[in-house]
Amino acid sequence: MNAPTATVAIPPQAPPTRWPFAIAFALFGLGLAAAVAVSLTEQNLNLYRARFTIWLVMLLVTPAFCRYALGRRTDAQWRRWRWFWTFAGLAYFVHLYYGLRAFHFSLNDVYAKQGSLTATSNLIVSALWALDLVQIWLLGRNLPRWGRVLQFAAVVLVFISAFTATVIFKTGYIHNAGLVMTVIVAGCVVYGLLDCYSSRQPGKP
Amino acid sequence: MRWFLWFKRNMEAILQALLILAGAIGVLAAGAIVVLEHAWVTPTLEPDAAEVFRHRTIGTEFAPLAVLQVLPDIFPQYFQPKAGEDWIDHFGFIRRTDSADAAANHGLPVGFCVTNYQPSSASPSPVPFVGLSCAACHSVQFRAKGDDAPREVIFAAGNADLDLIPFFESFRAAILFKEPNEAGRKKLANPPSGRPYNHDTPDLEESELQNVLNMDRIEAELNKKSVKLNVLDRLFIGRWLAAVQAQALKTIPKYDYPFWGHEKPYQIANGVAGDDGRLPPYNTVGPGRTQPFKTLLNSVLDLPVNLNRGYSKIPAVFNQEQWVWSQFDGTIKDHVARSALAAMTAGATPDSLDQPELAHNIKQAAEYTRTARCRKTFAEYFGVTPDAARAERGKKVYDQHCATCHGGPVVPRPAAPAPYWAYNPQDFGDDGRPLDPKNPGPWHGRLVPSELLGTDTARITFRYGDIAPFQLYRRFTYKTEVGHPYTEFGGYPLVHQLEFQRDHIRFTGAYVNGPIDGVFARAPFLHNASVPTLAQLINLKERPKVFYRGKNRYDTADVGLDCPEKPDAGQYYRFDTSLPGNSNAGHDYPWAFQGKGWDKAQLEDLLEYLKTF
Ligand code: HEC
Ligand code: HEC
Repeated sequence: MNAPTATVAIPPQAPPTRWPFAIAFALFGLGLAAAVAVSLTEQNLNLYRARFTIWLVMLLVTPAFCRYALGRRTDAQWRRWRWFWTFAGLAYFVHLYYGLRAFHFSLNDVYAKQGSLTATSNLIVSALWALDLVQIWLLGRNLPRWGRVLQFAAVVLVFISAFTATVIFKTGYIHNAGLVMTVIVAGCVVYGLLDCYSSRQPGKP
Repeated sequence: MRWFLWFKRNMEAILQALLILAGAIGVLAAGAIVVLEHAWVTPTLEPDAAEVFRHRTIGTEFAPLAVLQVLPDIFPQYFQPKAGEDWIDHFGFIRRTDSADAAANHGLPVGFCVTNYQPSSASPSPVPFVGLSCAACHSVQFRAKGDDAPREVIFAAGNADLDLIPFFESFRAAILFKEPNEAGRKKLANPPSGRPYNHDTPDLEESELQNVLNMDRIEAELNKKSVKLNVLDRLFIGRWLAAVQAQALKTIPKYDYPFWGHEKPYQIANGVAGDDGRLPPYNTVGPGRTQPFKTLLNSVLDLPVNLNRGYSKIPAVFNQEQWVWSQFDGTIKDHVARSALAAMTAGATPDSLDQPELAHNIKQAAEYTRTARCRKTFAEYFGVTPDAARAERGKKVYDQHCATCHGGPVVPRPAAPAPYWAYNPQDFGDDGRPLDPKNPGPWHGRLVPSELLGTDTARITFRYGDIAPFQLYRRFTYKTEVGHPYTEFGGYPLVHQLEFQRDHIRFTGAYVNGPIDGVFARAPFLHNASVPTLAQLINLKERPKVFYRGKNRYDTADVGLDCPEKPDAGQYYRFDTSLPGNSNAGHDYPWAFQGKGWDKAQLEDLLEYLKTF
C-alpha cells in the first residue's frame, strides 16, 4: 500500500457511527436479561443460565466471525468487529461463570466430567479470548505481530470450540444453531478469500 | 410537521439511543435479578446436625407458604373435614408446643420448614415455600393410655400417626379440581329437559370450568387474613400455580385423579366412596407408613407401578453407624445416599440436592442419624419402671434367641454420644450377605432369607425392584448416559455433590438384621407396621387379624400401640392383615404363638427385659 502523498486530499474523517455498538449492546442486554430471567424457573438455575448464555454467545459471535473473515480493512469494519467480538466475549464470561458455578467452582469436577481435552481447550479458549479483549481495548487496532497471532488463535479456537460443542457434541436445537453458525461463517470465509484473491489480481476477471 | 422534520433529521440518533437504552435496561434487569436472588436466599451451612435433621430444608418444598395457609379455608373437605380438628391433627403431624417456636414457624408442625427455595429446582424465590425436613417423618410423640398429656418428641424415631399419603393426595386434589365458571353455572341453572333417568355428570365443556384453586381465590382468602401480595409475590405464586397445575395434569396417566371429596351421591349410596380420604379405598397405606419405593419408581421410571404394595413403616433411624447396609431390605450402604434418597421420596430432585445448602443439609442429616440415639429409656419416657428381677431372667431368653441377629445393650449404659448398643456388622456381617442357618452366628447385619423369616414379602419382591438401584444411582452421576430431558430419565448432566458409588446400592429380596436399640420407640413393629405391640411380636399375645389405627395411645404393659378391634373417634383406619402387603405373620422368635416350646413365663420375662432397651 502506498503512503498517501501530499497531493491527495484526505477527506475529513466522518465521526464513527454508533450502530455497531447500539446493535451489539441491545442484543447483549436483552439476551442477557432473558437468559437470567428464564433460567430462574428452570429445573437447574446454573445449568440453564450456562445453556441460555451460550445461545447469546452464538448470536453475537457469528457476526464477529464473519467480519473477521471478510476482512477489517476500514476503521468502521474494525469497530463493527470489535463490538460484536467484545459483547460475545462478555456473554461467554457469563456463561463460563455459571458453568463453573454448576460445577461448584471445582476444576476437578470440570475435568472429571468434560475430560482433559475438552476442559483444557475450554480453559485455553477462555484465556485467549480474555487476553485478546484486553489487548484490543488497550492497544486498539495497531497490534504488534504477536498480538495479531494471539487474536488469530483466539478467533479460530473460539470457532472450533463453538463448532465442536454444538454441532458435534449436541443434538436438538443447539446442534442446528451450530450448523447455521457454521454455514454462515463458512460462507463468509469463502467470500472473504475470493474477495482477497480477486483484489490482488486487478484487471483479471 | 416540525416535529416530523426534527424526527427525520435525528432518526438515526433516536433509533440508536433506543437500542442503547434497551441494552442498558437489559443489563440492569439481569443485574437486578442476580442481586435480588442473593437477597432472597442466603445459604446457611448450619453446623448443628440435630438442628438440620429437625428443621432444615432437604429440597422438599412443595407449596408457597401463602397458599398452604389458605388451603384449609378453600378446601375444608380435604384439610379439615372433621369439626374441632385442623389439618395438623387430621393428618397426624406433630404440633409444635413451644409457642415461641410455633410462631417462628408460622404455626406449622414439627419438621416443616419455610425457605425461599423453589420446589424441585431449589432456585431462589422471593416468596417463601414450605417443605418437609427429616423430622416431619422421623419424629414421634406418644401419648400413654390413660394419660393423654402429649409427651416429649422423640427425634429420629418414626411418626406412627402420620398419614402422609392422604395429605399429599389432598394437596393434589386441591391443585387439580375444577368447578363450573360463570358460563358453567348458567348451564347448570338451566338443565336440559327430557333426558332419561341417569347418573351422568352435567355436560360441561372445558371452557365452562375453572380451577378451584386460582389466584383470585387465593388472594381473596389471604385478604381475609389481612395478608397482601405484592407484584413479585403474585408473579411467582401465579407461575408456581400454573406449573404445578400443568404438571399434575401431565402426570394423571401415572397417578390418576384423586377422587375423594367430590363423591357423587350414587357412589356413597353404593358404598364405593366415603367422605374421608384417609380411608380405603383411597388410601391403602394408612398411618405411620408410606410407599417409598412406589414414589421412587414413579419418579425415576415414570411408570404408574400401581400394583406396588411395598408399604414401609416410617422407621426409627437411630444409630445408623451400626447399619452397614440400611433400609429394611439392606439395600443402601452409603450414609449420605440414605438421606438423599429419603429426600427424593419426599419430593427433592437431584437438581435441588446439588445446591450447596441442600447438599450440606443432606450430609449433616446423615451425620446426625449416624450417631442419633433414643435419648430416653422406656422408664424415663413413660415413668414406668421395668421389674428388675424379671428383666434379669428375660435377658437369658434374649441372649439365647435374639442376640445373634439383633445384638444387645451395652451394660452399664454409657453416656451419650457413645453407642449403647453392641453390634458389629463389620465383623459378623460378611458385607450384608444372606445368613447361613447352619453357621451359629452372630449374624449382625445379615440378610435373612424370607423362607426363614416369614414376614410379608411385598416390600422386598416388588416389580422393578431389580432395576431401581441402577436408575437411582444414575440420577446422581454423570458417568452414565444423560437422558433427554435429563429431568425425567437418565443420568445427571453435572458432577453431583452427593454422588455415590454404584456398589453402595443394590437389590436384595430379603430383610436385613439390625440393632433394636430404643425398641419401645419403634412401635408398631416390623417393616410394614403390622404388629402393634412387642407382646404380640414375641408371640406372648396373639397377633390381631384386624385392628384400627389412627392416634393410638401407648400401651406400656404390652409395649406398643393400643389398637382396638373396632373403629372409634381417634382410630379410623382399618388395618386388615389379610390384604396384600399387610401380613403380620413370621418373625416367630422365640416361638410361634402357643407353638412348640412356647413358654408364657419366659416370654413375660423377655418382654420386661425389652423394656430396658
Ligand atoms: C416422607 C417421609 C420421610 C422423610 C421426609 C424422610 N424419611 Fe427417612 N425413611 C422414610 C421411610 C418410609 C423409610 C423406610 C424405607 C424402607 O422401606 O426401607 C425411611 C428410611 C430411612 C433410613 C433407613 C433406616 C433403616 O434403618 O433402614 C434412614 C437412614 C433415613 N430414612 C434417614 C432420613 C433422613 C436423614 C432424612 C432427611 C434427610 C429422611 N430420612 C427423611 C421416610 C422418610
Ligand atoms: C434370624 C434373625 C432374627 C432373630 C433370631 C430375631 N430377629 Fe427380630 N428381626 C429380624 C429381622 C430380619 C427383622 C425385620 C423383619 C421385618 O421387618 O419384616 C426383625 C425385626 C424385629 C423387630 C422389629 C423392629 C422394628 O423396627 O419394627 C423387633 C422388635 C425384633 N425383631 C425383636 C426380636 C426379638 C425380641 C427376638 C428374639 C425373641 C428376635 N427379634 C429374633 C431378625 C431376627
